[in-house]
Amino acid sequence: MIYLDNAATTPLLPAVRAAMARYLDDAFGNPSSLHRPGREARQAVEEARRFFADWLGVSPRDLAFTSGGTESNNLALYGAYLAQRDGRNHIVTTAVEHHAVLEAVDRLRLLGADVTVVPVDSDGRVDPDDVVRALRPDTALVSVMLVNNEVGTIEPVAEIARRVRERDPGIVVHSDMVQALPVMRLSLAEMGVHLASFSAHKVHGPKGVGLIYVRSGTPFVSLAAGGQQEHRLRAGTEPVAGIVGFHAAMAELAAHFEDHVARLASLRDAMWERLRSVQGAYRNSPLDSAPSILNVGFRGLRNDRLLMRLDLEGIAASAGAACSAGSLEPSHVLRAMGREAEARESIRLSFAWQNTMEEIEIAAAIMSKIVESMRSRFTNS
Amino acid sequence: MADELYFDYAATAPVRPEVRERMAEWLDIYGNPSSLHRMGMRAERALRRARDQVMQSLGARDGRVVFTGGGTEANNLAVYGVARAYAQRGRHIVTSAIEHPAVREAMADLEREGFEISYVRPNRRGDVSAEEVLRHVRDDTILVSVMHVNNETGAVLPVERIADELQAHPKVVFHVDGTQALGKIPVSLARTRIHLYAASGHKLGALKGVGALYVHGSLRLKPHVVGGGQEFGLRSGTENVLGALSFGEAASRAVREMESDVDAEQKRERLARALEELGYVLVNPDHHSPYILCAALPGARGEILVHAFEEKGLYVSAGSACSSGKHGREPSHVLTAMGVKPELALAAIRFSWHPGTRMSEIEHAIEVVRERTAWVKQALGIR
Repeated sequence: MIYLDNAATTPLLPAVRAAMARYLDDAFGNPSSLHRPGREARQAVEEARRFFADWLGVSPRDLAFTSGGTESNNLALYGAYLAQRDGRNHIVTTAVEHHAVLEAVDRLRLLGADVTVVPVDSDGRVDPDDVVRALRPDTALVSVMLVNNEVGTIEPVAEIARRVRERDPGIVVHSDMVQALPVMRLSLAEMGVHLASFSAHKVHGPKGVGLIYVRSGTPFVSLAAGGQQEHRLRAGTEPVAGIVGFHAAMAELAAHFEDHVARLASLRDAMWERLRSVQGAYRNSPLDSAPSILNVGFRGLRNDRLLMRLDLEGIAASAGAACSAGSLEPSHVLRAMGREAEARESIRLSFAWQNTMEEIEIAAAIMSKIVESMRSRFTNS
Repeated sequence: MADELYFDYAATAPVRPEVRERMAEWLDIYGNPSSLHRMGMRAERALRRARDQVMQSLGARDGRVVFTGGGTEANNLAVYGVARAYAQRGRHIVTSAIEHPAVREAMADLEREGFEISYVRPNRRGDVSAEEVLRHVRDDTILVSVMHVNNETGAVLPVERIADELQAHPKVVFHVDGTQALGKIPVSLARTRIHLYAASGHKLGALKGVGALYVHGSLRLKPHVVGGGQEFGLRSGTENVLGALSFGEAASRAVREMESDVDAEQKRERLARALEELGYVLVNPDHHSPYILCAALPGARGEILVHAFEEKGLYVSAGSACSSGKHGREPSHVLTAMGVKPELALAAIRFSWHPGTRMSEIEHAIEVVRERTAWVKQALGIR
């Protein structure tokens, strides 16, 4: 199996398994307990928090672990909106966000939020001018993802944050950085965002763990009600082993970060170099997109058939987001980019740490062959 | 942990050896269950098996299990989910005064939104009666939410009785927080009119960070976490496959282990008598879990005993893990609701163990308690 669906989820790094083992064993305690097993668990959670604070350039007090990227996004949007809804109830977001953001925004709409959805260009990019034009005196929140999960487009979040702040420093800026964490060296303080969301299983950590950044002083009420864990940002016993695994995975990536990112770019470029000569091939990902994602299509060939053939040949890829259980809805991202016809043809190839150049060569060759055979069958029938 | 006596199972449990053994194999199932390719399907199949295991452990038939990010979230989903879905029908909720913060804080939140909440108080022994709960149900009640086993006193609430009586109120949704019950007392949802039942993986020896909510039949709920529409649309986010698999396995094992622990009540009785002889005041609900015992030594704050015991490798807790915050402890809301005076409530400690705990470990714990209690009494000048 050649796994090229790393934007959906990634396999665990070997170091992660080893790191988690101890927290399944002797240090199994509840971090809120006062005794030895509890204290050891607490220590592991706090070490992880300090690591991420350091890596992201923020204070550990502003980070809380969650059950995943979706929960982080939900907490961020609900939290910032509900805390301000007496004075401000307008939200600005984009047409290409992940469902975790779009659905949360829909729910806030039911609670009375007024929402402006900013369009993107044919590369999937948001124009900061459009964001600024959408701002109103009652704007509570701006939410723009950093790396798009389907095409890899990098959004100008830092510039958006700066220009929003210039217009009205009271507006909270959130960014879904789930797909950025594996490929970008992030400095949240410099980017100027108030809230950011992350997920462990996209960086070779375990599923069921996420992280939210809530800059001190940001208006915020927590959606998760219960105990007083995680600086009261997120109630519930912390997923200790998962947090340790998240820490170990990111530490491993961080130790080789520049090389890792460069390698992904070379894998992606090699893949496109081989596919571009296939008849009818086109590329949806812009040239300056994140190196982990290559979104391509083949004129006239439906992506559901192509994916099925790929799966039979042992290549795992996808048509876009892995969510919405089992259905192959035409991608809202490609449609927002004005690529209506392409939305039924395009597939997402996404790369990570474990992929090799050899796999890319094999996968590209198989893909070319499949496309040719699908075409010849099409012309013969 | 060879020389350690862990008596804090109500806070969390060690990961079961059977779970640990299979971890490597489960970690290889790395696909995203929503992916359509083989890796995804494999994860989806594994997830389905785990779901069945949890259904079976709950003795449930007609319904489904939704995996969540933990017990807190499962309870949040139940309480908010019903309140948001049925607010048009009514805005009154009945709950008990001794719920865990996962329910209690959600209720407080709904109260601020304009819902009216009736809190049923326990009697002085810690028991909550079905009649009291039913007495509060009105025409505009949309939800009754009580815990099955109280996490501080071990009181078992009469959820079957309440479920039976609620048949007279067919529109009222009944939620039970089973976090401390599954694997500790028999749970059989197929025979009761319980619509929602929350459980937590790590209390059973699964990983932390996974919970489950049983949802009866086709009961309509508003999701708490939205997004990709996973878990029947009731809980979005990539499923914690490893966590769910550990939950399924741990739940099956825990229930079997409980069923074979025939002298559970004797073990609790042995510890209770020993504590009484040493001058402890016991919280002793008529209906109680055989695995939780709350006791107080008048004159000694709970933390002092926790630390004194820990020096000899015995781990207990002062109240629930969630309320032992950094800002000093407040007297437990559970004991306060029972009418226990603040000084005594602050002295309370909780012993909690599990069906695998042997009588010899109980005896060993008693030895430590005896020796350390004498030391604490002397140090504090308690007679």
